[in-house]
Amino acid sequence: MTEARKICLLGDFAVGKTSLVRRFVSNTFGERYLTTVGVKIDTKEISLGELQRMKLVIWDLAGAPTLSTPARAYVQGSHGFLVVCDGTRKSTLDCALSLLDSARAMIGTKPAILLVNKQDLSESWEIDQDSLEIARKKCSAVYSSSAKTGANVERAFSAIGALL
Amino acid sequence: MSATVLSASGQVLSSLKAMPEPVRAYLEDFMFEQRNLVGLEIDRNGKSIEHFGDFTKLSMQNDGRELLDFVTGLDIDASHVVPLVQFHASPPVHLHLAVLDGRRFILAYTAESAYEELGVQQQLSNELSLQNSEKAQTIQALTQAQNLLRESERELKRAHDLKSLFISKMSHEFGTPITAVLGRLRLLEQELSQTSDNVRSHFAVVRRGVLHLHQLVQSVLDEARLEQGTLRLEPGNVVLSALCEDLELLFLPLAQEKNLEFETAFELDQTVWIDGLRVKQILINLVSNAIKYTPSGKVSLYLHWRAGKLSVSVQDTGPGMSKEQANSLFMPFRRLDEKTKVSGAGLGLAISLELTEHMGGAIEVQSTLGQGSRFVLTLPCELADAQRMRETKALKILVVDDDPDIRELLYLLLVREGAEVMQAENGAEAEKAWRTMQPDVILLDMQLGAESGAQVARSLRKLGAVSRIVALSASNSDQTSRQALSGGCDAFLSKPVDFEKLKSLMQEQ
Repeated sequence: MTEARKICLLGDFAVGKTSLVRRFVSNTFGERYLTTVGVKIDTKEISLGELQRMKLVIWDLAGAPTLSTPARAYVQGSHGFLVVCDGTRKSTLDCALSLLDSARAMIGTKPAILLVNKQDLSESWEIDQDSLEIARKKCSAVYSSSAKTGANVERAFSAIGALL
Repeated sequence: MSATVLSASGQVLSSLKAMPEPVRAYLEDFMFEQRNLVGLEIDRNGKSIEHFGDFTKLSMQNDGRELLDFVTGLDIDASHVVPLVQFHASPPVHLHLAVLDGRRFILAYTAESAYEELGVQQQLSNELSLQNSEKAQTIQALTQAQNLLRESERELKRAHDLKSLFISKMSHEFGTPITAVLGRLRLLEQELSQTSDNVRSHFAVVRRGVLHLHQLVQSVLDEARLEQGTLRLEPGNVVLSALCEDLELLFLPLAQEKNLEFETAFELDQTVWIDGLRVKQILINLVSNAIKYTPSGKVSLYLHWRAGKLSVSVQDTGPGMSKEQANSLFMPFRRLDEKTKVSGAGLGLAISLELTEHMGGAIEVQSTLGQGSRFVLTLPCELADAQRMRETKALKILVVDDDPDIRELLYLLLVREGAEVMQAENGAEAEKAWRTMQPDVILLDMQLGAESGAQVARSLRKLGAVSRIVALSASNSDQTSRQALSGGCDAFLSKPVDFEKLKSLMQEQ
């Protein structure tokens, strides 16, 4: 039987959470920014080695700088987190880590992976390696990703699956 | 499923049984018909036992299996209320995990109106925040670019200052020895009138060589000054006949070497108020080019002044030029024919044109291939005021210069002109000499070792000196000129000193 595990995507608005899920689930990408209202739930099975498979139930939360009351309801029961920030906006890194702290304060220390997204715009990145030091302490792994090109998307979802 | 209904905000209402029948009927109708209420009953393992309602209205599978994903990870023995949830591409719903009488239900009903209202607000708000963020980033980038630009400007100014300093130093280093050599040559020329043709010929070669060197140095420095906008004009009295005579002296031997005729003429022997050194510099370039490129025939120069304009035409019987050649003639480092063995750096005409434009004039070229060329130089200037002229020989002159060669040279040249001359090496000696002599004119070097000529001029003025003070400096910068004039000098002349101009400046009242 395939086990189901719930993960939540946390991060400020417009960092690319929904695009990452679209790229992972349906391998598509759209340039237009459409805000997520509430939460979107998608699922995808991943394989963890030759015999083991896992159904990831992915909760893509509306982006916000803090964990709102509805978001607190969404986070309940999560087995792990993908925290996402936008490499071209440094403030979104602090925001992502702060959201992770709030979520963990509610449901306990669950595994987390940080995605520094929009790698395709790396020429205008504001986040450097030094500013990721704290993130490395809080998260099991840090990836730079691009929902547009697909860079590190599959890898990040598989990695969080392996940690659950 | 008639025991419980949910409010739009997700609150579980009390049993419908407690309500009046019309209210119960209304709410049942509202939830089932208008809010598309659907549900699943699940067991303790989260598996579906029974489903009710029309899931297709919510774009879900008939059995509503999507709803089972909702409880993944949740404690299914406790109630949960989760608003605004979208499964895949289905419309948004509010979700409840309701534990009622020991049974577990997942209930869902449409949340489209709340979703749309919140969605519009959120989209606008987020887009506005993104725009503000982009604006802040743009402002930051602009500020950084502005800072970089300021730093570049500072660097550029530093480089410009260094260049100015270099030009000023080079002017001094070249100017001082060339002044001495040219001055001595002028004296030798006057003394050689009784010597043999052979010696005069050697002398002419030396003089031409020094002049050529001088012109090259001047060209390079002038180009730099013109580029920097620091070239100063020094107008003085220029006698047209004397100008013709100077050019004849300079070019007749060259023309004769090539068996060319060289002829100069002027309409009226007038004296004009113009920078004679620069006029001569331009004409030297035009005439020397005409002689260089004319294999046989004649080069002629004709001057006239009319209605505020000095016109000089330089005409040759050389090979002439095509239109294309004439168009590129004044570009730096361009030679008419790169294969010819004619010497020169290719700067002469470019500088001549720049100098002409700097003086407010123009150079016109008329040329046809095989039929020679004619250059017409036009410069705005006025006739000099004859009342301002005085004879040099009546003057008492004090020469103040720390360079003994220059001092001695000026002394010899001025004495030869009949002036009474005293010399001083520094400010103290100058004051002493002034008391003794009460000179009409003081020729004052602006760089007297550690002393500034401007300071010396100021001290002399304090003593009551009313003499005409002509400042001399190897630096041709505006700054040096301003310092000299603010120190009390009446006129400024750069080295190497043009003796005719010096005489003209000394004679002004």
